[in-house]
Amino acid sequence: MNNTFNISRFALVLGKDFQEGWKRYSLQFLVMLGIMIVVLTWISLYAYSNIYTYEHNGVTYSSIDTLDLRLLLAGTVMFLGFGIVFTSTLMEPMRSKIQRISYLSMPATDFEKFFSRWLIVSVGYVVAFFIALWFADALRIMITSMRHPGVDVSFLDLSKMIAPEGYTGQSKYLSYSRQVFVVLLSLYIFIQSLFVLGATFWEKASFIKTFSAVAIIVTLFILLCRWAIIHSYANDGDGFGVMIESLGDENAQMLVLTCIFLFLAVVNWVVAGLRFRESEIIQRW
Amino acid sequence: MIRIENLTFRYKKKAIFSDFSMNLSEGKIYGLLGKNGAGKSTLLYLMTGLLQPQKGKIYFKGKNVSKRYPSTLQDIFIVSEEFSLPNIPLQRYIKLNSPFYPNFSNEQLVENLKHFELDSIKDINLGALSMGQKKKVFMSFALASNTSLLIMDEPTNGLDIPGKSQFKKFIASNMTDERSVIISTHQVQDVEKLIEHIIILENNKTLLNASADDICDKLYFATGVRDVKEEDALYISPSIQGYNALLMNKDNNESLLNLETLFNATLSNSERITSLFHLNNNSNI
Repeated sequence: MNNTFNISRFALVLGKDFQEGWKRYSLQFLVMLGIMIVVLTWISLYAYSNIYTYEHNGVTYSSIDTLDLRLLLAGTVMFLGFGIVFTSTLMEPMRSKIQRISYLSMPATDFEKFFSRWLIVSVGYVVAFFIALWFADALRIMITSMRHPGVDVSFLDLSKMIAPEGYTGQSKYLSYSRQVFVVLLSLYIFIQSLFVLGATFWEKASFIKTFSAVAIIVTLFILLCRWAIIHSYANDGDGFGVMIESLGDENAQMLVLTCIFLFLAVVNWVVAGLRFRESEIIQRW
Repeated sequence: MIRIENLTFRYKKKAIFSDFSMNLSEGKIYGLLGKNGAGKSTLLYLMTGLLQPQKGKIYFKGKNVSKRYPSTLQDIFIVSEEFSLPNIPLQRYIKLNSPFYPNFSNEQLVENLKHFELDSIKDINLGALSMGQKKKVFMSFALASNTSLLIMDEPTNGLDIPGKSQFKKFIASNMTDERSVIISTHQVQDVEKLIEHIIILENNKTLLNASADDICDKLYFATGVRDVKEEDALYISPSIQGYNALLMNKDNNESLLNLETLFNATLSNSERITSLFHLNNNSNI
């Protein structure tokens, strides 16, 4: 018998998780959908009720031109917010001693159990988010069209996530280059991995505890960086900027940042997996 | 079947086992007795890999249980004192969980449910059952999984009066030469006639580790007697009819094993009982 990974056993673990927790997942999906509908519809109704024009570099634009950007910004914030909240439920089947007995004694490897949970909170969440986004956007269009019957309301344009190469016009794209978008994506993956790791430390109130820990660590890190810059560059921000620029062109810097975020994300996932493997039904320490 | 080698385990502030060794063989029903906090449940959790020892190893059929290999877990079933069943119909519960146990028998489960007069609940949501009914369903599933080792912690807690007698018949009818059952309980009357081998843990020692036959060969259980010489008795306690006493079985008389008397006698006269069954301090806890 394969005691490391078996795809059919993994499918059983995943199927069991889905079928035993479908009510909880459905409720979480509906809450996410409800919030999305309210936020997107409110932004859309407000935009169509307050249309104005303005000039930029001699070109006249309508405020509606940036509606997609506003919707995408709201969507991005919700994607991150719901993502980290949902990721915090990674250890949901291990919240109490009784649940831990049931989950840990299930005949599957610790890796299969962890990976199934990881898949649900990582990939499963992304799929659920975009399904909810599509529904919420459709409802937004329906409600906005009813409120403004003469207006042609279009679906959210996801291509506005990244500006086309060489674009210098009015700001209506979420990120001005593909590299920036990839950095943002890798930053999300890194943040998500922090909450995966946090969930293995705190099985109860994981989101609040991880959020607090991350806030403290980030604050300390920023203060440390600031202290280091002050001492190394005699409080000369420009000098530090010159040093950063000397490291390479913007694309190279973006690539380095992406690699750092992804590497740290993998480290966090691996550490979380190892912590899961060491889980016991009673937390002794 | 189970080999415990030099096991050391402690909770944060309390040492439970230190250099503890023990062997359990197959085809027997073991009774694990001890006062509150003696380490009975801890030992059961260690045997199933749900707790990890600081030192030493526990082997089940030659495999280290701490690794929680699926090949080991699919051959062990633990019915803990508290357990959780999902809010899904029994049929779906069986469909989701039975594939993890290769020797699971659906026919046997139907028989077991009939035994507990629960054969009409297949379509009922498990969440709608009473605690006692849930326990009966869970034990029926556990036995139908046909694992080589079945561990039960306080199995008769929460069962109604008919349920307790059904339980005894139910365990006896599901026993095979390849299967071992370990029952940890304080309700000794409920399992008295079932148990074939008794282990008593107390104060870092295995006070008794002997078969029921061996115990009845060496000890005589006098129940409700009016006249007992104190110097002849290992233990005496008053009862409604007179006295219950534990005596040396010098004349090879037959008597019925009384677990309560044996337990109390072992605790109050541990040195004599231990020496009687040639227990060395290898199994110090």
